[in-house]
Amino acid sequence: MAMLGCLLSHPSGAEEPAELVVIVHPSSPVRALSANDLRAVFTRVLRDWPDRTPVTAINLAPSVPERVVFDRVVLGMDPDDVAQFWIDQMIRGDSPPPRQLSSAAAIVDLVSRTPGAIGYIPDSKLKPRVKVVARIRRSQVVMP
Amino acid sequence: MKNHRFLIGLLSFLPGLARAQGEPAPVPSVTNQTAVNPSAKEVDQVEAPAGPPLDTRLDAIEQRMKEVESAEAEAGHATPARAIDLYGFMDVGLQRLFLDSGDPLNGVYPTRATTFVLGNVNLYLDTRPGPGWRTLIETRFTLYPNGSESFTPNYQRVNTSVYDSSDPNGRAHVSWGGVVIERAWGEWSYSQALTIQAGLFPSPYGIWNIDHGTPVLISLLLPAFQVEEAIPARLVGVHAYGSFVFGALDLGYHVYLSNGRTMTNVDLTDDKALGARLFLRHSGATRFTVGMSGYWGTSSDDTKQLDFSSGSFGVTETRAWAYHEWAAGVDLSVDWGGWRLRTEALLHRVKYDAGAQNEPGLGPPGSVLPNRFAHYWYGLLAHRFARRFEPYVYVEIQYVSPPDFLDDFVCTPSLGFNIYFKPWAQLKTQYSSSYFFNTEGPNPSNVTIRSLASRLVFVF
Repeated sequence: MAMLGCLLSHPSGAEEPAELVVIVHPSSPVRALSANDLRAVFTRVLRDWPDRTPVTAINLAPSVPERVVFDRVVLGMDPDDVAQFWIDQMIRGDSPPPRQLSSAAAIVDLVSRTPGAIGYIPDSKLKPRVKVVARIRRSQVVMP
Repeated sequence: MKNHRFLIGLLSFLPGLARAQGEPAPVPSVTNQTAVNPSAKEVDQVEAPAGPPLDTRLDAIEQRMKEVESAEAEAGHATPARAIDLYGFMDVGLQRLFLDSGDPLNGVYPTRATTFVLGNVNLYLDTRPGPGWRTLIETRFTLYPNGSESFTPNYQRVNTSVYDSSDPNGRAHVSWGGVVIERAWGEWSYSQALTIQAGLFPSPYGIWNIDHGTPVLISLLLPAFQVEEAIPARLVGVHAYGSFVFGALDLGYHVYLSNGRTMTNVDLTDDKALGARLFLRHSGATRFTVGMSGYWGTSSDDTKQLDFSSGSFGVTETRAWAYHEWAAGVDLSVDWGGWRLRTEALLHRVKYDAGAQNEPGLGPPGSVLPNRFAHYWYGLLAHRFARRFEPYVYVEIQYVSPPDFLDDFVCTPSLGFNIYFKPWAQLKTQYSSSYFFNTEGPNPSNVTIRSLASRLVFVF
């Protein structure tokens, strides 16, 4: 219930943050991810990494501006589209949406402790204990 | 939970706790003297703090802790979460079926009047007890069987009205309804390529049966192959599925072994039904899925009679009817900009076993269904504009050989209009005309069914 509640509440717009970085656990064999890869991960189409570690995608909460930017650039969806997409998935009985955390620090903490985890944060919140596999700069996914 | 909340409340008076939930504590700046020597204004703020009340802040902290716990549980860090995600949908609407008073289809549908209807009230119970494990139960609450009509051969109507003995007046009454189990399965995921599911699951074929619910489906009108269950809508058995991802494309499969179409909750024969689906899906700005599905199974029914003829108790079983069937279908769905295309074609073959009487049919009492080929096709083209509005055109064709009760060819053109107020609130309206023809029989059928239906759909 809370999951859908979070899904369904969203801001109407968002300011473009300076840059987002997509981070994974330092032990991950992944070096770089393309826009297609990220879309597959954050729509739960891709469920295993190449080394068969299960993918644990962590989203920012819908109320966070960086989440809106990420969804627009990577998924090509605005907040209503994203909410509709996950409602459709759940009514079909498919995978529920990725878990979400409200703060970048919590995402860094979880990703740094979880092999297979992937999240995104503002570049300014980046810590050395995670690995960057993509950057979102000026509405484009670029290599790290 | 109360202790938990009390602890949070107690700790929240300690400086910096709110930030300790996720944000690093700020490091006092050497150059920022106001941090060390607060101004009078800041002292006022300390004495009469602005901002949300304590309860609101506690709720926020508690919510954040739940998020972390939930994410950690999914990542396998914490004790498996015992929480159940509850969600679902419901729809309610107004509809009218336009039939002449002498139309035999009045025997199938209870009224020609405009009527409000309660459609689906579906509740999902979703648990993930540990990494890779998941259970999902979907139940539909319904007012049925109250009001259900049948001709066997005389007209009958079910009345479930009973006195509510808990009512102090003793005169109140209630009509009890039913619960339909739409799905109830548990699954374990070995890898991207293999997840094994067991239980009652919607047959994974085509578009419609996978999309499943009114919030997802564009059209209110069900295609004939769904209504007639050319492939059973849900099955009890085991189901394996997986996919292989290649950039924006993924190639997926479903294979399932089940009891197949049964007259009871168990299989009366040892042979099992087999089904499969293969699909190729593209994600991105243009999304499409192209798939093919197949099903093979048998179905039968037995009658039983107590037998005392040999001096001891026995039961004589007689095979009432038996057939084998197969179905094959292809489907395509495309989402391009605001355009949405859905189309499916399906062929269904039923052949009765030699010597076994055929299954009772929907025709006059005592009639039976013959061996048959049924061909189905529909196409739907919708366009969503201004984000909220979605008109669409739907055309469906069905051809059955040899003819069923009245007809062998049905054509259903339809127009619909959906309004998406919010992702969780929609209004769907559809007008359709079904034209029935008998191209082979001596008496050409001229039956036409027109219907107008609307549904207000909520997701919760």
